[in-house]
Formats: sequence, C-alpha cells, structure tokens
Amino acid sequence: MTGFTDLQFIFRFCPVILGLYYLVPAHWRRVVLILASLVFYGMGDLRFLPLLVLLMLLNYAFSGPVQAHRRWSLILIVTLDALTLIAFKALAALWGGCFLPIGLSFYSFRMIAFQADLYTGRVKGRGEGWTGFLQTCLYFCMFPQLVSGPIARYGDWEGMNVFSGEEEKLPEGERLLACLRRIEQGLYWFIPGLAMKVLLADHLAMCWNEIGTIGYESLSTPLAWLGVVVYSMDLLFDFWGYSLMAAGLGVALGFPFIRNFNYPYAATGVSDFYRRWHITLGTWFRDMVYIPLGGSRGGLFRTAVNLLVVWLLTALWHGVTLNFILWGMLLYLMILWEKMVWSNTPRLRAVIGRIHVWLCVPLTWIIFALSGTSDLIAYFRRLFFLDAGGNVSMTDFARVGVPYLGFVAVGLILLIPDLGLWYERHKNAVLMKLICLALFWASIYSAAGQSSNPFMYLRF
Amino acid sequence: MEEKNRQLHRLHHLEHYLMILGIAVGALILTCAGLLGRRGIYRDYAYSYADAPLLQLALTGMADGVMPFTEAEYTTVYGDPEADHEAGYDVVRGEAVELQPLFEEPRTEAEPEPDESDVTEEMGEDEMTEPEVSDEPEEEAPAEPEEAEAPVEPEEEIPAEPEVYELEAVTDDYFCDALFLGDSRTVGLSEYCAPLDERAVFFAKVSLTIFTLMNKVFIPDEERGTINVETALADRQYDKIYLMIGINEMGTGNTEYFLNAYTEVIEQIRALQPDALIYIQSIMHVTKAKSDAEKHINNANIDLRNSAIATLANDHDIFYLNMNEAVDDEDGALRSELTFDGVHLKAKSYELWYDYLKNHAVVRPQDEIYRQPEGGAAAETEEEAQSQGVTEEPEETDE
Repeated sequence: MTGFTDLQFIFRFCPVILGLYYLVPAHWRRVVLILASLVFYGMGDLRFLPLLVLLMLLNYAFSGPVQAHRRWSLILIVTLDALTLIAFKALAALWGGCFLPIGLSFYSFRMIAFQADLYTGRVKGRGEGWTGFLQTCLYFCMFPQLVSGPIARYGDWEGMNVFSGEEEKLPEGERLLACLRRIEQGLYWFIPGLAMKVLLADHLAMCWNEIGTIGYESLSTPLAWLGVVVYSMDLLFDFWGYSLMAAGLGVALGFPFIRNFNYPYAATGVSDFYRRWHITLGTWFRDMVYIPLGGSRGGLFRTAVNLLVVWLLTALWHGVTLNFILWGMLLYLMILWEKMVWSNTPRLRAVIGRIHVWLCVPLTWIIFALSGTSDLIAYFRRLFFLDAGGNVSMTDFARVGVPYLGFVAVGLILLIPDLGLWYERHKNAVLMKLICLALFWASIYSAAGQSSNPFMYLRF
Repeated sequence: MEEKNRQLHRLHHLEHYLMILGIAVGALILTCAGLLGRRGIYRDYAYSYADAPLLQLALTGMADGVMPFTEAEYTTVYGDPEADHEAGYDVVRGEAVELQPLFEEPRTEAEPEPDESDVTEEMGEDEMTEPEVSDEPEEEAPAEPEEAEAPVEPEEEIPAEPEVYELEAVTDDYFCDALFLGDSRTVGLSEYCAPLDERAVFFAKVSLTIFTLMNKVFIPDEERGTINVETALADRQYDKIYLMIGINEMGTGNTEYFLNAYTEVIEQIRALQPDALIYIQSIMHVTKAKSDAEKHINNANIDLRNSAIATLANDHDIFYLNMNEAVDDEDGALRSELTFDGVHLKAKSYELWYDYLKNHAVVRPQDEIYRQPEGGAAAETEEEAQSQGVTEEPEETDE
C-alpha cells in the first residue's frame, strides 16, 4: 500500500480508519489519526519510521522554547531539520534513491514551517498539554499529507471543530449523518483527483514511456513536440490529482480544504505560474526564505539575489542533479526577464508572459524530466529538426502519438479555469454526484487493471 | 403527520450522501461477487486476501470478460495432470476446456471484438491470471523432447539424407520473400529497420502471444477487412518465416505449456507453408535490472523457454537463431544502453538485430544469388555460427 490509488488503501485502510475515527469520542480522534498515520507510513517504508518518530518528538520538545521566542532553540531545531533533509538528499544522490525516506522532503518542511510560525507568532500557539502534544504530532505525520504534501501550515487548522466534541451534543442519528456529510464533502475532491490521476495522468505516462522506448535521439520532430505536451500534462495531472485526493481525505476527516494547484496554465507569466503550481511549496519558500531575506524591499539587485536563492533551493529540493539546477535557473531567468525588462510595458509583458507559460514552461519540464545530459541534448536537437544520431521513423507520431490524442484533448480542456469553477458551483447537484460516482468506478476499474497487471505500462 | 414530514425530510436528505452510498453499495456488490466467484468462476485466478480487497477479483474478472454472477462450466482439468496437455489456454480464464486443437479459441460471448482497444485487455487475460500449471512455473527443467506432443517434422517427411545447412551472411535482398511474425519487438523491427521493412512482410502486433499468434485478427486485407495469420498464410507462400515471440506470455503457464503451444504453431505454419524455411528466433533477453526486479519476466525464465523452443529446430528447414548474441552483455542480459524500458530495443539499436539476421541465414540453392561475396562478413560469420552451436542436432521423438 503505497499510494491513494491502491485498492487496499481505498477499500480497506480508509473505511477502517474513517470508521474508527468517527466512532471514538472526539478527543480520541487525534490519537486514532496519529496511529493510523504511523501504520500508513510503516507500511510504505518501515525502515525510516523511527526517523519520523524521532523528528516528531524532537520538534515537539523544541517547540516550547521556540514558542517562548528563544532564538537559539529555533536556530538549533531548524538546522537539525534542514541538515537531516540535506544529508539524506546527498546520500540519495551518491547511492541512489533507496536511501531517501518517503516523504522526508515534505514532513521536514512542515517541521521547519511549524517552528518558524511559532517563533514569529503567525500561529497563536501550539496548544497546551496533552492536546497540544497530540495536535503537534498530528500536524507532522497526518497520513493524507505525509508522503507528498500538500505542505499545510499549522495555522490552517485553527477553527477546526472535528476534535471539539460539538457533534456529541447532537442526537445519535444526526451525529452519524454529520460524519457522513464530512466524508461526502471529502469525496467532492477525492474523486476528481482520483480520476485525474488514474484515468488521465497514468495514460499520458504510458505515452511518455513509449516515447522513451523509441529513444529521444530517434524521435520525429512532431512526436518530440507532442512529448513536450504529454509530459507537461502528465506531471500536472499526476500531482494535481494527488493533491486533490490528499485534500479530499483531509476534508473527509474534518480538516480544511487545501488548494495546491490553481489552473497554472491560465497564468499570465512564470512568476504567476508558480503562484498557481504546487502552491503550498511556493508559499513555504516565500515565507521561509524569500521574505526573511528581505523579499523585494531592498531594491532591484537585492530582489534578484533573493530570487536566485529561492530558485536555487527550489531546484535542489526537487533533486540534486544538474538538470534540476538548469531547470531552476532557467525559470529564474524568465522571472527576472518578466520582472525587470517588461514590467513597464504591460501589453508586451502580457504577450511575453503567455509565451513563457505556454511554450517555455513546457520545455522546462523536459529538462526536469531528463537527468541525463546526452538525453537532454538529443531531445532538444530533435525538437528543432536537428540530427541527434538516431534512427528516425516519420510514422512514429501515428503509431505512438495518435492513440493518446484523446487524453491530450481532455487534458487541454481541464486546463480551463471556468470548468473547475463550474464544478465547484454545481458539485452538490444530483447529476454531478452521479457523474462523480461513474468517474469513481471507472477509475477503480482502471486502477484494478493496473495493479493486477504489472505489465500495463509495458505493452510488449 | 409530523412523523411523515420527518421521513420525507430524511429521504430528501438522501441526496446528500449519494456518493458515499454509491460507493458503499458498489463495493458491497463487487465484494460479494468476488467472494462467490472465488470458489466459482474466478477460482483459477491468482488471488490472496493479503494482497488486495476481494472486489479486485471481481474487477479483474470483469476486465477479462468474465462477468460476476454468471455461470461457467467446469471440468476438473487441474485435478488431472494428463489433462493439462489438452487444456487450451482459455482454461486460464475458467471458461472452456479441452480445446482441441489448442488454438481454435471457442470463446464465449465475452470475447471482445478484435480491435485496437482490446490490446490491453488481451494483455490482461494473459498476465493477470495464472493457471495452476504455473504454480511451480519455471523451476523445472525444460520439457524433455519426448514430452513435446508431436515431432515437428514427422520422420517420413524428412528426406533420407536431409541436407543440413549452416548459417551464412547474405545481402539485404535475401529478405525480399521473408515474413516476420511477432509481438511489439517485431513491430519495432519493422518500424526502425528500413531495409528490412522495404523488403519483407510483417505480421506483428503489440501484445501478441504464442497463444494468439495464429488466430488473432489484425492483418488488414483489401477484400476481407482484417484477417488472422492463419488465413494470411493460406493466401500466399513465403520463402522464409521468422518468429520472435514469447515475452508477453512469460507469466502464463510453465515452460512445457509454452513449448506445446509453440510446437503447435510451428506445425500449423509447416502445414500451410510446406516449403518455407522457418527461423525460430530466441526470445530476446531483458536487461539485468529488469530481470532482477521481475518475478516472471526474467532472463532465467527466458533462457528456459529458449532452450525449449531451440529443440524444435531440425537444421534442415527449421532453424533456431540465438539473436541474444547480438544484444547481450557479459551477464547474458540485454545491454542497458540499447534500451529504455529494459525490454524493447531503442530505435537505433534495431540495426544490431538486423545485422545478426543478415549474418545468420541459410542459403538454399535458390538463395545463392543473395550470398554475400566471400571474405568480409561472410567468413567471420561462419566461424561465429559454429562456435555458437546454433546448429544443434535435430531433436527427434521416439515415435
């Protein structure tokens, strides 16, 4: 059981946990959720469960002094969290990915944000006594957000009532219905996310895999361009779908909805794009790095330096290889270009911004995808009709590309913000619920096929 | 009155729980289907409670076209070891048994229409389910030739002193009257080997298996729409027929089961194409990384099956070509730089395969014009061919 699309997770883990969670008295729910999260993590990778628990306890231990504005406590614990992440990233870079604990990139960021928010007073306090301890631990390890985010903030949880026991005043039947309503509300988000991941992203991934099978040096130019579109959309819908599932699970458990994507391809420029893409990560870097460095208040040069630091760190967070650094630096240059050169000519700026979002950003995803320098060079040569030493067949577009054009079309339609807004307005309608149900079972059918058939992606 | 209002109120609220209800009811039905099917229609499916919820079983069955709550007829095939030989692969799906000959596929209405969309479905039925014969799959040695059901070439048909050919180098035009049969790997060969694609005929399809090779309808035909390989072979005679097939069915059955199917296909081809040279190409290896990670698709299993199908060669008109020599590394695995997914050659790597075929061809009297001039590649290859032991002794049965 590693992901939210696993049938074990959907039909065994979730019902059991949700059942327990809502059956126990409200003040026990945190305990149920913490234990469930540890079980979830342990089933993914038991080796690093002690590391998670240790970091949780240490961060709680330091949170008292940090809350009391002890500067050295903050520096010490943030350094410890950051060093743990850096050390494992470095190990992974040297020895391969198997030494990177699942979700470390995300939970260490939550821990750092937690301490910083406590110190600066962005959150009122971590809570007192046993409740505060449980709430803190839960924030660090809550299973929907443990493995791949979103990186929620401790302050987001203020005003939640699922632990307050208000429901317990309701009569028995009403109480049950109130719980069911929460789960139903979670499904509003979970199901579209599941469908995005299973029905759309996983099929686009098959196309991208077939493109790799040909070899980048042998792609025909039309297929190479289709590959840019396919990979960009695969990445978006995979992660957006995942984020929606995570947010939906949170809602089902009584937590606030967290928006991690906001129609990024509707952005007006690269900086806007990254305010709409993986929002919780962007916000983290803004609050934890950019603003502490002075943000844009120190003049143009200082802003440029601060942005450079942010993008360098963003690149390294994604991976410690050359292609990620190249990816980050190109985005940085585009943002500078938009900010410094075109900001005084709004009309031209708008055109340049769209070109960046629709053409340059998808091309940067190819850099993001290909960690081998020779692969990268070959791919870009083929994009521009240059020979890359391969064996090009002009019929590859018809063979590999055309079967997936339907998925690409659906993906393109889903980029339109109005569609999502329309869904949000009508999600309570019976017809919409029936559509969601159909999508759910279609996704389950497809996911069942993939899990029982490990060769789905390798159709020989 | 008040009571009635309250009930109406409740009913009205039902729509607030529509999705959760739909999921719960659906899950319940499918779980029941799985539970009932486990002892019934899905009893031959590999399934364990620990790995997946019960509804997985019903969903897998549905993907195969075996609908829940339907009846299926059974005979106790697996209880009777002798019956295994007779059992067609449809047994895998718990449908028909005693298919004779193996490939007539007396499928039920569940059989999907043969079109592009059933490519994955086809995969499904081959891979998702394992007949019990595969419970101790590849550990056992390749089937003894005696067990191979029928001799490939009945003795009476072999001339008194059959001419035994050796493998030599030939020119591109050797392949002008050649036919290539195979799965996605052969599709790749046709796509990325222009000299071959211009000359030879290809009947190749993604996800094809030895079980579906003869009867799958996928070859476009002007008059009849699409036809299967059997019909296409009846239409026209070919001089050379190359087969490369077996990777998709690595998870299906054991070596003996595979060899039996292969033997039948060779027999069918021989009957339809009495004068053709048949080249059985080895199943191409996968990379070491892939092999280490896979339960079924690994090189040890591929080697078992290769040595089994190698026994079908007679070095007279059926030859076994170990094309892995062209692409292997020192571990006997596909060289990793030649592939992206560990299974298929990259576009630019197909040349190695073609070179191997060009250097390992049988030159019958009518093919003399295609012989490569002496020296160069030819001399080298002859030596190579001998050291490879490609020319194995023909295996004969004691009948």
